[in-house]
Amino acid sequence: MTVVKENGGSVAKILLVDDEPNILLVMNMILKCAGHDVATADGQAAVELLKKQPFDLVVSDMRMSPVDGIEVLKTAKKIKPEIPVIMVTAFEMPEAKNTALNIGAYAYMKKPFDNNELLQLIGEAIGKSRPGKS
Amino acid sequence: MPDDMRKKLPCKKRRGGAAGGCAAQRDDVVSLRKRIRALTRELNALKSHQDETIQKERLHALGQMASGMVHDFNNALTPILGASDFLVMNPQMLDQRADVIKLLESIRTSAHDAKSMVMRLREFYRPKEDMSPHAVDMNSIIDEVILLTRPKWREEALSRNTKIKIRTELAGIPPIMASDSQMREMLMNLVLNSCDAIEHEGTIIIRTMPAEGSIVLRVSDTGKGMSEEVRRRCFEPFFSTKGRNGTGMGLAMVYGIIKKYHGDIKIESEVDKGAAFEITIPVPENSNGVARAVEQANPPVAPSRVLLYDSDALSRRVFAKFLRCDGHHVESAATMRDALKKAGANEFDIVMVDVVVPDGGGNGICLAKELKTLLPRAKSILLSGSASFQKDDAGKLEGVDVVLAKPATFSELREAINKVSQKIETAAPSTSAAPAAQTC
Repeated sequence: MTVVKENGGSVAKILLVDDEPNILLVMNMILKCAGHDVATADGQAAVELLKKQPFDLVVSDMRMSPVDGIEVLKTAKKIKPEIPVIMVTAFEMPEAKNTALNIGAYAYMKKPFDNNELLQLIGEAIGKSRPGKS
Repeated sequence: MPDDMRKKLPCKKRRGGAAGGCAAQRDDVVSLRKRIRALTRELNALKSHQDETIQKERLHALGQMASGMVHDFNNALTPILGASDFLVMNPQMLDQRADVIKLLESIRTSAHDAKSMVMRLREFYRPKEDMSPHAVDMNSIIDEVILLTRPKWREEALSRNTKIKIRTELAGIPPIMASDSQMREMLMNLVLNSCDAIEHEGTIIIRTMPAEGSIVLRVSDTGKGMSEEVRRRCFEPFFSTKGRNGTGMGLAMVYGIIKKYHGDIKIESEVDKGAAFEITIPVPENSNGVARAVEQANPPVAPSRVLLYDSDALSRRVFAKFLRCDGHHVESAATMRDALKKAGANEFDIVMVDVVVPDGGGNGICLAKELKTLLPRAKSILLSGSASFQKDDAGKLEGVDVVLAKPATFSELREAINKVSQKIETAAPSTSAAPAAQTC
Protein backbone atom coordinates (compact mmCIF):
# COMPACT_ATOMS: atom_id res chain seq x y z
CA MET A 1 0.00 0.00 0.00
CA THR A 2 1.54 3.33 -0.93
CA VAL A 3 1.38 6.50 1.10
CA VAL A 4 -0.15 9.08 -1.16
CA LYS A 5 2.12 12.02 -0.30
CA GLU A 6 5.33 10.07 -0.75
CA ASN A 7 4.36 9.20 -4.29
CA GLY A 8 3.41 12.70 -5.29
CA GLY A 9 -0.27 11.91 -5.11
CA SER A 10 -2.96 14.23 -3.84
CA VAL A 11 -4.00 14.15 -0.25
CA ALA A 12 -7.72 14.61 0.03
CA LYS A 13 -10.32 15.43 2.64
CA ILE A 14 -12.61 12.43 2.41
CA LEU A 15 -16.03 11.77 3.92
CA LEU A 16 -16.71 8.08 4.58
CA VAL A 17 -20.40 7.22 4.93
CA ASP A 18 -21.73 3.88 6.22
CA ASP A 19 -24.03 2.73 9.01
CA GLU A 20 -21.76 -0.17 9.99
CA PRO A 21 -19.23 1.09 12.58
CA ASN A 22 -16.74 -1.72 11.92
CA ILE A 23 -16.59 -0.86 8.25
CA LEU A 24 -16.05 2.83 9.03
CA LEU A 25 -13.30 2.01 11.50
CA VAL A 26 -11.35 -0.15 9.07
CA MET A 27 -11.79 2.15 6.05
CA ASN A 28 -10.84 5.14 8.20
CA MET A 29 -7.57 3.50 9.19
CA ILE A 30 -6.77 2.43 5.64
CA LEU A 31 -7.32 5.91 4.24
CA LYS A 32 -5.54 7.70 7.07
CA CYS A 33 -2.55 5.39 6.72
CA ALA A 34 -2.49 6.39 3.06
CA GLY A 35 -2.24 10.01 4.15
CA HIS A 36 -5.77 11.28 3.62
CA ASP A 37 -7.75 13.45 6.01
CA VAL A 38 -10.85 11.43 6.90
CA ALA A 39 -14.22 12.07 8.51
CA THR A 40 -16.79 9.31 9.10
CA ALA A 41 -20.56 9.42 9.49
CA ASP A 42 -23.77 7.49 8.93
CA GLY A 43 -26.21 8.69 6.26
CA GLN A 44 -28.08 11.20 8.38
CA ALA A 45 -24.95 12.74 9.93
CA ALA A 46 -23.23 12.83 6.54
CA VAL A 47 -25.93 15.00 5.00
CA GLU A 48 -25.46 17.50 7.86
CA LEU A 49 -21.67 17.37 7.66
CA LEU A 50 -21.65 18.02 3.91
CA LYS A 51 -23.49 21.29 4.53
CA LYS A 52 -20.96 22.41 7.14
CA GLN A 53 -17.56 21.32 5.82
CA PRO A 54 -15.92 21.15 2.42
CA PHE A 55 -14.84 17.72 1.23
CA ASP A 56 -12.79 16.64 -1.77
CA LEU A 57 -14.40 13.23 -2.14
CA VAL A 58 -17.17 11.09 -0.63
CA VAL A 59 -17.26 7.30 -0.30
CA SER A 60 -20.77 6.21 0.59
CA ASP A 61 -22.62 2.97 1.22
CA MET A 62 -25.81 2.58 -0.82
CA ARG A 63 -28.17 0.85 1.57
CA MET A 64 -28.63 2.83 4.75
CA SER A 65 -31.61 3.96 6.69
CA PRO A 66 -33.22 6.42 7.23
CA VAL A 67 -30.94 8.39 4.89
CA ASP A 68 -29.60 6.22 2.07
CA GLY A 69 -26.62 6.57 -0.24
CA ILE A 70 -28.66 8.11 -3.06
CA GLU A 71 -29.70 10.95 -0.77
CA VAL A 72 -26.08 11.46 0.32
CA LEU A 73 -25.03 11.51 -3.34
CA LYS A 74 -27.72 14.05 -4.27
CA THR A 75 -26.81 16.30 -1.31
CA ALA A 76 -23.09 16.18 -2.12
CA LYS A 77 -23.69 17.00 -5.78
CA LYS A 78 -26.05 19.84 -4.92
CA ILE A 79 -23.47 21.48 -2.65
CA LYS A 80 -20.47 20.85 -4.92
CA PRO A 81 -21.35 19.46 -8.37
CA GLU A 82 -17.76 18.48 -9.25
CA ILE A 83 -17.20 16.43 -6.09
CA PRO A 84 -16.44 12.76 -6.89
CA VAL A 85 -18.71 10.37 -5.00
CA ILE A 86 -17.84 6.67 -4.94
CA MET A 87 -20.78 4.43 -4.08
CA VAL A 88 -20.16 1.08 -2.39
CA THR A 89 -22.65 -1.70 -1.92
CA ALA A 90 -22.82 -5.12 -0.29
CA PHE A 91 -25.49 -6.26 -2.77
CA GLU A 92 -25.43 -5.00 -6.31
CA MET A 93 -28.75 -4.08 -7.82
CA PRO A 94 -28.52 -2.93 -11.46
CA GLU A 95 -31.35 -0.39 -11.08
CA ALA A 96 -29.77 1.23 -8.04
CA LYS A 97 -26.40 1.27 -9.80
CA ASN A 98 -27.87 2.99 -12.86
CA THR A 99 -29.69 5.51 -10.68
CA ALA A 100 -26.47 6.37 -8.86
CA LEU A 101 -24.45 6.70 -12.03
CA ASN A 102 -27.15 8.81 -13.68
CA ILE A 103 -27.17 11.20 -10.74
CA GLY A 104 -23.43 11.56 -11.16
CA ALA A 105 -21.67 8.99 -8.98
CA TYR A 106 -18.01 8.66 -9.98
CA ALA A 107 -17.90 4.90 -9.52
CA TYR A 108 -19.78 1.99 -8.01
CA MET A 109 -17.84 -0.64 -6.05
CA LYS A 110 -18.95 -3.91 -4.51
CA LYS A 111 -18.13 -5.00 -0.96
CA PRO A 112 -15.90 -6.56 0.13
CA PHE A 113 -13.47 -4.54 -1.96
CA ASP A 114 -9.73 -4.71 -2.40
CA ASN A 115 -8.03 -1.98 -0.36
CA ASN A 116 -5.56 -1.11 -3.10
CA GLU A 117 -8.27 -0.87 -5.73
CA LEU A 118 -10.21 1.54 -3.53
CA LEU A 119 -7.13 3.69 -2.95
CA GLN A 120 -6.32 3.72 -6.65
CA LEU A 121 -9.85 4.72 -7.51
CA ILE A 122 -9.73 7.52 -4.94
CA GLY A 123 -6.38 8.72 -6.31
CA GLU A 124 -7.74 8.71 -9.85
CA ALA A 125 -10.92 10.53 -8.84
CA ILE A 126 -9.00 13.24 -6.96
CA GLY A 127 -6.59 13.64 -9.83
CA LYS A 128 -9.41 14.17 -12.31
CA SER A 129 -11.25 16.61 -10.07
CA ARG A 130 -8.12 18.72 -9.67
CA PRO A 131 -6.70 19.05 -13.20
CA GLY A 132 -3.17 20.42 -13.32
CA LYS A 133 -2.59 19.95 -9.57
CA SER A 134 -0.38 17.17 -8.14
CA MET B 1 -60.77 -59.46 9.12
CA PRO B 2 -58.90 -62.78 9.65
CA ASP B 3 -60.24 -65.77 7.70
CA ASP B 4 -60.97 -67.82 10.83
CA MET B 5 -63.24 -65.11 12.18
CA ARG B 6 -64.93 -64.71 8.85
CA LYS B 7 -65.79 -68.39 8.89
CA LYS B 8 -67.56 -67.97 12.21
CA LEU B 9 -70.00 -65.46 10.80
CA PRO B 10 -73.58 -66.73 10.90
CA CYS B 11 -74.41 -68.19 7.57
CA LYS B 12 -77.97 -67.53 6.44
CA LYS B 13 -77.84 -70.68 4.30
CA ARG B 14 -78.07 -72.99 7.43
CA ARG B 15 -81.37 -71.51 8.34
CA GLY B 16 -82.51 -71.72 4.79
CA GLY B 17 -81.72 -68.00 4.07
CA ALA B 18 -80.45 -66.60 0.74
CA ALA B 19 -77.70 -68.75 -0.72
CA GLY B 20 -75.45 -65.82 -1.37
CA GLY B 21 -75.69 -64.41 2.18
CA CYS B 22 -72.21 -65.45 3.32
CA ALA B 23 -70.73 -64.63 -0.04
CA ALA B 24 -72.21 -61.13 0.17
CA GLN B 25 -70.68 -60.61 3.60
CA ARG B 26 -67.34 -61.87 2.34
CA ASP B 27 -67.53 -59.42 -0.54
CA ASP B 28 -68.28 -56.62 1.92
CA VAL B 29 -65.23 -57.49 3.96
CA VAL B 30 -63.00 -57.67 0.91
CA SER B 31 -64.33 -54.37 -0.32
CA LEU B 32 -63.80 -52.83 3.12
CA ARG B 33 -60.22 -54.07 3.19
CA LYS B 34 -59.55 -52.53 -0.19
CA ARG B 35 -60.96 -49.24 0.94
CA ILE B 36 -58.88 -49.26 4.12
CA ARG B 37 -55.75 -49.97 2.09
CA ALA B 38 -56.58 -47.21 -0.34
CA LEU B 39 -57.27 -44.75 2.49
CA THR B 40 -54.00 -45.67 4.22
CA ARG B 41 -52.15 -45.03 0.97
CA GLU B 42 -53.90 -41.67 0.62
CA LEU B 43 -53.08 -40.74 4.20
CA ASN B 44 -49.39 -41.57 3.75
CA ALA B 45 -49.28 -39.61 0.54
CA LEU B 46 -50.95 -36.64 2.27
CA LYS B 47 -48.45 -36.76 5.15
CA SER B 48 -45.56 -36.87 2.75
CA HIS B 49 -47.05 -33.99 0.78
CA GLN B 50 -47.57 -32.05 3.99
CA ASP B 51 -43.89 -32.46 4.94
CA GLU B 52 -42.84 -31.33 1.48
CA THR B 53 -45.15 -28.34 1.59
CA ILE B 54 -43.89 -27.29 5.01
CA GLN B 55 -40.33 -27.54 3.77
CA LYS B 56 -41.24 -25.54 0.65
CA GLU B 57 -42.75 -22.84 2.83
CA ARG B 58 -39.56 -22.69 4.88
CA LEU B 59 -37.43 -22.42 1.77
CA HIS B 60 -39.80 -19.81 0.37
CA ALA B 61 -39.40 -17.73 3.51
CA LEU B 62 -35.63 -18.10 3.28
CA GLY B 63 -35.69 -17.18 -0.38
CA GLN B 64 -37.52 -13.97 0.43
CA MET B 65 -34.58 -12.91 2.50
CA ALA B 66 -31.84 -14.08 0.16
CA SER B 67 -30.72 -10.70 -1.14
CA GLY B 68 -30.70 -9.28 2.34
CA MET B 69 -28.58 -12.17 3.60
CA VAL B 70 -26.04 -11.69 0.82
CA HIS B 71 -25.90 -8.02 1.78
CA ASP B 72 -25.34 -8.83 5.46
CA PHE B 73 -22.62 -11.38 4.75
CA ASN B 74 -20.77 -9.02 2.43
CA ASN B 75 -20.97 -6.34 5.08
CA ALA B 76 -19.50 -8.75 7.64
CA LEU B 77 -16.70 -9.74 5.24
CA THR B 78 -15.67 -6.17 4.46
CA PRO B 79 -13.99 -5.31 7.79
CA ILE B 80 -12.58 -8.85 8.11
CA LEU B 81 -10.85 -8.74 4.73
CA GLY B 82 -10.12 -5.04 4.87
CA ALA B 83 -8.46 -5.11 8.28
CA SER B 84 -6.51 -8.33 7.78
CA ASP B 85 -5.32 -7.25 4.32
CA PHE B 86 -4.31 -3.87 5.73
CA LEU B 87 -2.20 -5.40 8.50
CA VAL B 88 -0.55 -7.93 6.22
CA MET B 89 0.36 -5.23 3.67
CA ASN B 90 1.47 -2.75 6.36
CA PRO B 91 3.46 -4.74 8.92
CA GLN B 92 4.85 -1.50 10.36
CA MET B 93 1.36 -0.90 11.76
CA LEU B 94 1.83 -3.82 14.13
CA ASP B 95 3.92 -1.51 16.32
CA GLN B 96 0.85 0.60 16.92
CA ARG B 97 -0.78 -1.61 19.49
CA ALA B 98 -3.92 0.42 20.14
CA ASP B 99 -4.79 0.58 16.44
CA VAL B 100 -4.06 -3.10 15.95
CA ILE B 101 -6.35 -4.01 18.83
CA LYS B 102 -9.14 -1.89 17.33
CA LEU B 103 -8.74 -3.64 13.98
CA LEU B 104 -8.69 -7.07 15.62
CA GLU B 105 -11.84 -6.19 17.55
CA SER B 106 -13.59 -5.16 14.37
CA ILE B 107 -12.54 -8.47 12.76
CA ARG B 108 -13.85 -10.36 15.77
CA THR B 109 -17.17 -8.50 15.90
CA SER B 110 -17.77 -9.00 12.19
CA ALA B 111 -16.88 -12.69 12.41
CA HIS B 112 -19.32 -13.08 15.30
CA ASP B 113 -22.02 -11.33 13.27
CA ALA B 114 -21.42 -13.76 10.41
CA LYS B 115 -21.46 -16.68 12.83
CA SER B 116 -24.77 -15.53 14.29
CA MET B 117 -26.25 -15.36 10.79
CA VAL B 118 -25.15 -18.92 10.13
CA MET B 119 -26.52 -20.11 13.48
CA ARG B 120 -29.88 -18.49 12.80
CA LEU B 121 -30.05 -20.02 9.33
CA ARG B 122 -29.09 -23.38 10.74
CA GLU B 123 -31.82 -23.25 13.37
CA PHE B 124 -34.33 -22.28 10.79
CA TYR B 125 -33.73 -24.95 8.17
CA ARG B 126 -32.82 -27.89 10.39
CA PRO B 127 -35.24 -30.48 8.96
CA LYS B 128 -35.91 -32.86 11.79
CA GLU B 129 -35.34 -31.95 15.37
CA ASP B 130 -36.59 -32.60 18.81
CA MET B 131 -39.88 -30.66 18.96
CA SER B 132 -40.65 -31.64 22.50
CA PRO B 133 -41.89 -28.67 24.48
CA HIS B 134 -39.62 -26.95 26.94
CA ALA B 135 -39.55 -23.60 28.71
CA VAL B 136 -39.45 -20.85 26.09
CA ASP B 137 -39.12 -17.13 26.72
CA MET B 138 -41.14 -15.45 23.97
CA ASN B 139 -39.41 -12.10 24.49
CA SER B 140 -36.07 -13.70 23.57
CA ILE B 141 -37.66 -15.38 20.57
CA ILE B 142 -38.95 -11.98 19.44
CA ASP B 143 -35.44 -10.48 19.65
CA GLU B 144 -34.06 -13.40 17.60
CA VAL B 145 -36.78 -13.15 14.97
CA ILE B 146 -36.25 -9.42 14.55
CA LEU B 147 -32.58 -10.12 13.80
CA LEU B 148 -33.39 -13.09 11.61
CA THR B 149 -35.88 -11.15 9.51
CA ARG B 150 -33.76 -8.02 9.27
CA PRO B 151 -32.73 -8.87 5.71
CA LYS B 152 -36.40 -8.61 4.78
CA TRP B 153 -37.68 -5.60 6.72
CA ARG B 154 -34.54 -3.55 6.39
CA GLU B 155 -32.40 -4.48 3.40
CA GLU B 156 -34.86 -5.87 0.92
CA ALA B 157 -37.45 -3.25 1.77
CA LEU B 158 -34.87 -0.56 0.96
CA SER B 159 -34.29 -2.15 -2.41
CA ARG B 160 -37.95 -1.60 -3.29
CA ASN B 161 -37.94 1.94 -1.84
CA THR B 162 -39.99 0.92 1.15
CA LYS B 163 -39.14 2.01 4.67
CA ILE B 164 -40.19 -0.32 7.42
CA LYS B 165 -39.71 0.34 11.11
CA ILE B 166 -40.06 -2.40 13.65
CA ARG B 167 -40.85 -1.69 17.27
CA THR B 168 -41.33 -3.86 20.33
CA GLU B 169 -43.25 -3.32 23.54
CA LEU B 170 -42.35 -6.31 25.64
CA ALA B 171 -43.73 -6.84 29.12
CA GLY B 172 -42.37 -9.28 31.65
CA ILE B 173 -44.03 -12.58 30.81
CA PRO B 174 -43.60 -16.10 32.15
CA PRO B 175 -42.11 -18.79 29.93
CA ILE B 176 -44.43 -21.04 27.96
CA MET B 177 -43.95 -24.72 27.24
CA ALA B 178 -43.31 -25.00 23.50
CA SER B 179 -40.71 -25.76 20.88
CA ASP B 180 -38.58 -22.66 20.43
CA SER B 181 -38.01 -23.34 16.75
CA GLN B 182 -41.76 -23.59 16.12
CA MET B 183 -42.36 -20.34 18.01
CA ARG B 184 -39.62 -18.74 15.94
CA GLU B 185 -41.13 -20.05 12.73
CA MET B 186 -44.60 -18.84 13.68
CA LEU B 187 -43.42 -15.35 14.55
CA MET B 188 -41.23 -15.15 11.49
CA ASN B 189 -44.19 -15.90 9.23
CA LEU B 190 -46.20 -13.10 10.85
CA VAL B 191 -43.36 -10.59 10.51
CA LEU B 192 -42.69 -11.52 6.87
CA ASN B 193 -46.40 -11.18 6.08
CA SER B 194 -46.42 -7.73 7.67
CA CYS B 195 -43.40 -6.73 5.57
CA ASP B 196 -45.20 -7.79 2.41
CA ALA B 197 -48.30 -5.85 3.43
CA ILE B 198 -46.41 -2.57 3.81
CA GLU B 199 -46.07 -0.40 0.72
CA HIS B 200 -43.85 2.73 0.73
CA GLU B 201 -43.63 3.21 4.48
CA GLY B 202 -44.93 1.53 7.60
CA THR B 203 -44.38 0.14 11.07
CA ILE B 204 -44.55 -3.31 12.58
CA ILE B 205 -45.20 -3.45 16.32
CA ILE B 206 -44.68 -6.57 18.39
CA ARG B 207 -46.13 -6.58 21.90
CA THR B 208 -46.23 -9.11 24.70
CA MET B 209 -48.42 -8.98 27.77
CA PRO B 210 -49.12 -11.33 30.65
CA ALA B 211 -52.71 -12.49 31.09
CA GLU B 212 -54.59 -14.80 33.42
CA GLY B 213 -53.05 -18.24 32.89
CA SER B 214 -51.49 -17.25 29.58
CA ILE B 215 -49.36 -14.83 27.63
CA VAL B 216 -50.54 -12.58 24.83
CA LEU B 217 -48.45 -11.87 21.76
CA ARG B 218 -49.67 -9.19 19.35
CA VAL B 219 -48.11 -8.51 15.95
CA SER B 220 -49.58 -5.52 14.18
CA ASP B 221 -48.66 -3.50 11.11
CA THR B 222 -49.73 -0.36 9.29
CA GLY B 223 -49.90 -2.12 5.95
CA LYS B 224 -52.67 -2.49 3.39
CA GLY B 225 -54.92 -4.57 5.65
CA MET B 226 -57.32 -7.35 4.69
CA SER B 227 -60.83 -7.53 3.34
CA GLU B 228 -63.35 -9.57 5.26
CA GLU B 229 -63.05 -12.47 2.88
CA VAL B 230 -59.27 -12.56 3.18
CA ARG B 231 -59.52 -12.32 6.97
CA ARG B 232 -61.94 -15.22 7.00
CA ARG B 233 -59.87 -17.44 4.73
CA CYS B 234 -56.29 -16.48 5.51
CA PHE B 235 -55.65 -19.55 7.68
CA GLU B 236 -56.80 -21.92 4.98
CA PRO B 237 -53.96 -23.99 3.52
CA PHE B 238 -53.01 -22.89 -0.01
CA PHE B 239 -55.02 -19.66 0.24
CA SER B 240 -52.80 -16.77 -0.85
CA THR B 241 -53.18 -13.17 -1.98
CA LYS B 242 -49.66 -13.08 -3.37
CA GLY B 243 -50.25 -15.00 -6.59
CA ARG B 244 -47.21 -16.98 -7.67
CA ASN B 245 -45.11 -15.40 -4.96
CA GLY B 246 -47.01 -17.07 -2.16
CA THR B 247 -47.30 -20.73 -1.15
CA GLY B 248 -50.46 -20.10 0.85
CA MET B 249 -49.05 -22.10 3.75
CA GLY B 250 -47.53 -19.42 5.99
CA LEU B 251 -50.59 -18.51 8.06
CA ALA B 252 -51.89 -22.06 7.92
CA MET B 253 -48.65 -23.09 9.64
CA VAL B 254 -49.04 -20.28 12.18
CA TYR B 255 -52.52 -21.51 12.99
CA GLY B 256 -51.38 -25.12 13.26
CA ILE B 257 -48.54 -24.25 15.62
CA ILE B 258 -50.76 -22.17 17.91
CA LYS B 259 -53.40 -24.88 18.09
CA LYS B 260 -50.73 -27.46 18.86
CA TYR B 261 -49.98 -25.56 22.07
CA HIS B 262 -53.66 -25.05 22.88
CA GLY B 263 -53.49 -21.37 22.04
CA ASP B 264 -55.81 -19.05 20.21
CA ILE B 265 -55.41 -16.46 17.46
CA LYS B 266 -57.58 -13.49 16.53
CA ILE B 267 -57.25 -11.05 13.63
CA GLU B 268 -58.25 -7.42 13.50
CA SER B 269 -57.98 -5.84 10.10
CA GLU B 270 -59.67 -3.69 7.51
CA VAL B 271 -58.57 -2.68 4.05
CA ASP B 272 -55.98 0.14 4.20
CA LYS B 273 -56.07 0.07 7.99
CA GLY B 274 -53.34 -2.41 8.77
CA ALA B 275 -53.67 -5.74 10.54
CA ALA B 276 -53.15 -7.12 14.01
CA PHE B 277 -52.73 -10.77 14.95
CA GLU B 278 -53.35 -11.43 18.63
CA ILE B 279 -52.15 -14.78 19.91
CA THR B 280 -52.85 -16.21 23.34
CA ILE B 281 -50.83 -19.16 24.59
CA PRO B 282 -51.42 -20.82 27.95
CA VAL B 283 -48.59 -21.00 30.45
CA PRO B 284 -47.98 -24.08 32.61
CA GLU B 285 -49.29 -23.86 36.17
CA ASN B 286 -45.85 -23.98 37.70
CA SER B 287 -44.39 -21.38 35.35
CA ASN B 288 -42.90 -19.42 38.23
CA GLY B 289 -40.78 -22.41 39.05
CA VAL B 290 -39.59 -22.94 35.52
CA ALA B 291 -36.02 -21.83 35.57
CA ARG B 292 -34.71 -19.61 32.83
CA ALA B 293 -31.30 -20.46 31.46
CA VAL B 294 -28.73 -18.29 33.11
CA GLU B 295 -25.53 -17.45 31.26
CA GLN B 296 -22.69 -18.54 33.41
CA ALA B 297 -19.09 -17.58 33.17
CA ASN B 298 -16.96 -20.55 32.28
CA PRO B 299 -13.82 -20.47 34.37
CA PRO B 300 -11.14 -22.86 33.16
CA VAL B 301 -10.98 -26.26 34.85
CA ALA B 302 -7.90 -28.11 36.06
CA PRO B 303 -5.52 -28.99 33.21
CA SER B 304 -6.33 -32.15 31.30
CA ARG B 305 -4.55 -34.26 28.73
CA VAL B 306 -6.30 -33.70 25.43
CA LEU B 307 -6.02 -35.58 22.16
CA LEU B 308 -7.22 -33.32 19.35
CA TYR B 309 -8.07 -34.69 15.92
CA ASP B 310 -8.99 -32.31 13.10
CA SER B 311 -7.97 -32.67 9.47
CA ASP B 312 -8.12 -28.89 9.03
CA ALA B 313 -4.75 -27.41 10.00
CA LEU B 314 -6.02 -23.95 10.90
CA SER B 315 -8.82 -25.31 13.04
CA ARG B 316 -6.37 -27.63 14.78
CA ARG B 317 -3.99 -24.75 15.46
CA VAL B 318 -6.68 -22.50 16.87
CA PHE B 319 -8.18 -25.13 19.16
CA ALA B 320 -4.76 -26.26 20.36
CA LYS B 321 -3.84 -22.67 21.18
CA PHE B 322 -7.08 -22.12 23.08
CA LEU B 323 -6.56 -25.28 25.08
CA ARG B 324 -2.93 -24.55 25.88
CA CYS B 325 -3.89 -21.07 27.08
CA ASP B 326 -5.99 -22.78 29.75
CA GLY B 327 -3.12 -25.00 30.75
CA HIS B 328 -4.20 -28.22 29.05
CA HIS B 329 -1.64 -30.55 27.55
CA VAL B 330 -2.52 -31.06 23.91
CA GLU B 331 -1.47 -33.64 21.37
CA SER B 332 -2.74 -32.91 17.89
CA ALA B 333 -3.41 -35.39 15.11
CA ALA B 334 -4.02 -34.52 11.48
CA THR B 335 -4.96 -38.00 10.35
CA MET B 336 -7.05 -40.82 11.76
CA ARG B 337 -4.04 -43.11 11.83
CA ASP B 338 -2.04 -40.58 13.82
CA ALA B 339 -4.92 -40.12 16.28
CA LEU B 340 -5.21 -43.87 16.85
CA LYS B 341 -1.45 -44.22 17.21
CA LYS B 342 -1.28 -41.52 19.85
CA ALA B 343 -4.28 -42.93 21.68
CA GLY B 344 -2.57 -46.30 21.81
CA ALA B 345 0.67 -44.88 23.15
CA ASN B 346 -0.52 -42.30 25.73
CA GLU B 347 -3.15 -41.69 28.33
CA PHE B 348 -5.67 -38.90 27.66
CA ASP B 349 -8.54 -37.44 29.68
CA ILE B 350 -10.36 -35.87 26.76
CA VAL B 351 -10.48 -36.60 23.04
CA MET B 352 -11.71 -33.92 20.64
CA VAL B 353 -12.68 -35.30 17.27
CA ASP B 354 -13.86 -33.44 14.22
CA VAL B 355 -16.81 -35.07 12.47
CA VAL B 356 -15.06 -34.90 9.08
CA VAL B 357 -12.49 -37.67 8.58
CA PRO B 358 -11.26 -37.46 4.97
CA ASP B 359 -8.84 -40.37 5.36
CA GLY B 360 -10.45 -43.53 6.58
CA GLY B 361 -13.81 -43.66 4.86
CA GLY B 362 -15.78 -43.18 8.08
CA ASN B 363 -16.62 -40.14 10.15
CA GLY B 364 -15.72 -38.59 13.47
CA ILE B 365 -18.29 -40.64 15.35
CA CYS B 366 -16.69 -43.89 14.21
CA LEU B 367 -13.29 -42.52 15.16
CA ALA B 368 -14.60 -41.39 18.55
CA LYS B 369 -15.88 -44.92 19.18
CA GLU B 370 -12.55 -46.47 18.23
CA LEU B 371 -10.69 -44.04 20.46
CA LYS B 372 -13.02 -44.98 23.31
CA THR B 373 -11.95 -48.59 23.07
CA LEU B 374 -8.33 -47.48 23.38
CA LEU B 375 -9.07 -44.86 26.04
CA PRO B 376 -12.05 -46.18 27.99
CA ARG B 377 -11.85 -43.52 30.71
CA ALA B 378 -11.53 -40.53 28.37
CA LYS B 379 -14.52 -38.35 27.54
CA SER B 380 -15.08 -37.19 24.01
CA ILE B 381 -16.11 -33.98 22.32
CA LEU B 382 -17.37 -34.09 18.73
CA LEU B 383 -16.52 -30.99 16.69
CA SER B 384 -19.15 -30.31 14.06
CA GLY B 385 -19.24 -27.58 11.44
CA SER B 386 -22.53 -28.67 9.91
CA ALA B 387 -26.15 -28.67 11.01
CA SER B 388 -26.13 -32.46 11.08
CA PHE B 389 -25.12 -32.57 14.71
CA GLN B 390 -26.17 -30.23 17.45
CA LYS B 391 -25.59 -30.02 21.19
CA ASP B 392 -28.69 -32.08 21.96
CA ASP B 393 -27.38 -34.99 19.89
CA ALA B 394 -24.57 -35.81 22.32
CA GLY B 395 -26.65 -38.28 24.32
CA LYS B 396 -27.77 -40.08 21.16
CA LEU B 397 -24.33 -40.65 19.63
CA GLU B 398 -22.34 -43.59 20.87
CA GLY B 399 -18.91 -42.62 22.06
CA VAL B 400 -19.73 -38.88 22.14
CA ASP B 401 -20.23 -36.98 25.39
CA VAL B 402 -20.53 -33.42 24.10
CA VAL B 403 -21.09 -31.88 20.66
CA LEU B 404 -19.36 -28.58 20.02
CA ALA B 405 -20.47 -26.56 17.00
CA LYS B 406 -17.82 -24.87 14.87
CA PRO B 407 -16.90 -22.09 14.71
CA ALA B 408 -16.55 -22.08 18.49
CA THR B 409 -15.48 -19.21 20.69
CA PHE B 410 -12.98 -19.60 23.51
CA SER B 411 -15.88 -19.46 25.96
CA GLU B 412 -17.85 -22.18 24.13
CA LEU B 413 -14.80 -24.44 24.06
CA ARG B 414 -14.34 -23.92 27.78
CA GLU B 415 -18.00 -24.76 28.36
CA ALA B 416 -17.57 -28.03 26.47
CA ILE B 417 -14.37 -28.88 28.39
CA ASN B 418 -16.13 -28.05 31.67
CA LYS B 419 -19.01 -30.36 30.81
CA VAL B 420 -16.81 -33.35 30.04
CA SER B 421 -14.49 -32.61 32.95
CA GLN B 422 -17.41 -33.03 35.30
CA LYS B 423 -17.84 -36.52 33.90
CA ILE B 424 -14.19 -37.50 34.09
CA GLU B 425 -13.49 -40.12 36.75
CA THR B 426 -10.28 -39.73 38.66
CA ALA B 427 -7.63 -41.29 36.46
CA ALA B 428 -4.94 -43.55 37.86
CA PRO B 429 -1.76 -41.56 38.42
CA SER B 430 0.45 -41.76 35.33
CA THR B 431 4.11 -42.59 35.55
CA SER B 432 5.14 -39.47 33.66
CA ALA B 433 3.93 -36.02 34.67
CA ALA B 434 2.21 -33.84 32.07
CA PRO B 435 4.48 -31.11 30.76
CA ALA B 436 4.20 -27.66 32.30
CA ALA B 437 1.45 -25.43 30.90
CA GLN B 438 2.55 -23.64 27.77
CA THR B 439 2.17 -19.90 27.53
CA CYS B 440 0.06 -18.34 24.75
